[in-house]
Amino acid sequence: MIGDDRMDVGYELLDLQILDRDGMEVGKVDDVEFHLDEDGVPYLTALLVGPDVFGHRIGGWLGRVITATTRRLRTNRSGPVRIPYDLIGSVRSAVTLTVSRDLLPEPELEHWLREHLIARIPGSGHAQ
Amino acid sequence: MKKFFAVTLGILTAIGGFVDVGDLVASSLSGARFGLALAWVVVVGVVGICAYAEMCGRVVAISNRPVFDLVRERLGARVSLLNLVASYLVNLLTLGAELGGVALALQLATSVSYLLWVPVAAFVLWVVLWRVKFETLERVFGLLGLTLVIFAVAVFRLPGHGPELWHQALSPVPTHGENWNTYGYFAISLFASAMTPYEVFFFSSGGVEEKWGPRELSEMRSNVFVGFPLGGGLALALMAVAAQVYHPLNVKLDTLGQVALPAALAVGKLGLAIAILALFAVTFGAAMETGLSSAYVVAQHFGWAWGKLVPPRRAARFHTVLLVSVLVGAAVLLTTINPIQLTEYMLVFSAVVLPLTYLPILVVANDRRYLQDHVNGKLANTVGVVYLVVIVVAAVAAVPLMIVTGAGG
Amino acid sequence: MPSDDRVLTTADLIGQPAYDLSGEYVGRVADVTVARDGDGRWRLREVVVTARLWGRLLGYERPEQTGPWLLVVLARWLVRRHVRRLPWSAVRVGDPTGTRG
Repeated sequence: MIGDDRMDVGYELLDLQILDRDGMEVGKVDDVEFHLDEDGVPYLTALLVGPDVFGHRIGGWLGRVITATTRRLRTNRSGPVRIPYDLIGSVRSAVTLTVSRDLLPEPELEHWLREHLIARIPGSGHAQ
Repeated sequence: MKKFFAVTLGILTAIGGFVDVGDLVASSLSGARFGLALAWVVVVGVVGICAYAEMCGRVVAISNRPVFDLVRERLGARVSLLNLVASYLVNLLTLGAELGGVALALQLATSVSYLLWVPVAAFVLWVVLWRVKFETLERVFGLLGLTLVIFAVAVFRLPGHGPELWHQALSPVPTHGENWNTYGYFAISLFASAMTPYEVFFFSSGGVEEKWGPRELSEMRSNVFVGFPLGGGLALALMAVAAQVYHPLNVKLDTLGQVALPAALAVGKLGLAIAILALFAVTFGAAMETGLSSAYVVAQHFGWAWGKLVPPRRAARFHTVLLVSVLVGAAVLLTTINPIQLTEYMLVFSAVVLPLTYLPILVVANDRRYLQDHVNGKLANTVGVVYLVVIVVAAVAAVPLMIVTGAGG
Repeated sequence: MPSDDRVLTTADLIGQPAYDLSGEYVGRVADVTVARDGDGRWRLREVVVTARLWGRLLGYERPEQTGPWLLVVLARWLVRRHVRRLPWSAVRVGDPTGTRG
């Protein structure tokens, strides 16, 4: 945790809710990305958000179905949402970012459903 | 004074909102078959839902996160995905059953076939969820649900409401013509109707939308500990009138009209009208809750934006799941399956899924990372673990008993 | 899925078999531990391996985790005895001759 210096990735970071600077939902930590440093030791570089990443991690039949469906529905080549590790403000019961979610790429499914379905229904711009 | 009014309103809403189509069907059917011999199951179920709803409410008030949101990080991705699939499917079944109840109530009121009402009810349901303010919805339908009290009135106006009923309630064994298998099957259905999963998902998500904090804890507890038992009392009234009218005649209950009839016998035409209004109010109110719950569990598992406080454009996936769920619920009914039977199946499968719903709540309510000093005390944990054992036993026995008895027979 | 050989995710680590430096199987990876270094990077320090089925049971195998007494006792009995923490440099993940660790 930012503040503590050790973390069990599976127990303390994976599957945590990610919130942006304003407390809006960004997604869950579906997986994390490591790069290898000069000595070949992995270090954390980014959080990964996306159903295909989630499906790949859980594996099994259902995981493969989720991953394959997501990949097939992707129109562009962007892949999962990647949040560089230095955008993280704190990790407590949720991961809080230092930026607004508008600065991050929008998940493909959200974009598609909004454009083709939800935005076409009258009243979609108003909250309650 | 204003605080007193708010607290009372909360309790009244909780009472009226407690009963749904599962309670209607399970209580009435049990009353007709066993008299009041299964009344104790309602009491047991109410204690269970009170204990777990209080845990959920506490989690929300302190951590500001709905319980299902925390399940994935606490239980891990694989187990929580399984939990999601099971919870969503049961929610969908429940939504179908509630919509079926709405359509049947409208059929009672208008003599127009319930199948024609299904698309209308589904459409109105979706529009209401799209446009109307969350708090308003809860209040209106919670208070309308109080009209169920007509059945409590009916208990006292029907013959045979004295010592005979008490005697039945105090001898919890199968009555003539029944055996322990059917007794067990109906007991499990009754138990599942009191502890249906969507109740806790809706309760905790609603708490987040209403921005509960530590100051709302006492109000939440009064709603739960006063409102839910009184709501359970209304379910018992349904069981009692069915016991008074149908049990002596050995009649098999299988329509919603039969559920409403005792009110007509006791109070006349006015009683029938109020009863139909009550049935409509509780099923429509529950349909709103299950519709929202279906979308909540999916959105909260995947971390999407959810809820009515953001414009739908900013929560497109959540609203799509909501729309699709209502459509599928309506589609299930349009296969012309008997809505009462659908409700009975829904209760059995709810019973099977209950451990997956309630174990995570117990785990989360004990986690200091979310609750700090408000974690479960010894009482909450003891009750929680005891009920978890009961829930597991019910879950294991549900399907075998359904098969052995032919779903009640 | 990493296209670059120098990029990993937990899918490549957690759940994979682990071997010690002499090639002997030590268990499956249940979790990995990172720690922050002087340069601010969170480097992989340890792996948690389990010789049996479950490496984790609701977190109750961890000493600091509170819960209902019955579940905690159950989890510790089922899990704690079979779980070990090993330094990253002492294991290979994936295959005994592996390029990891």
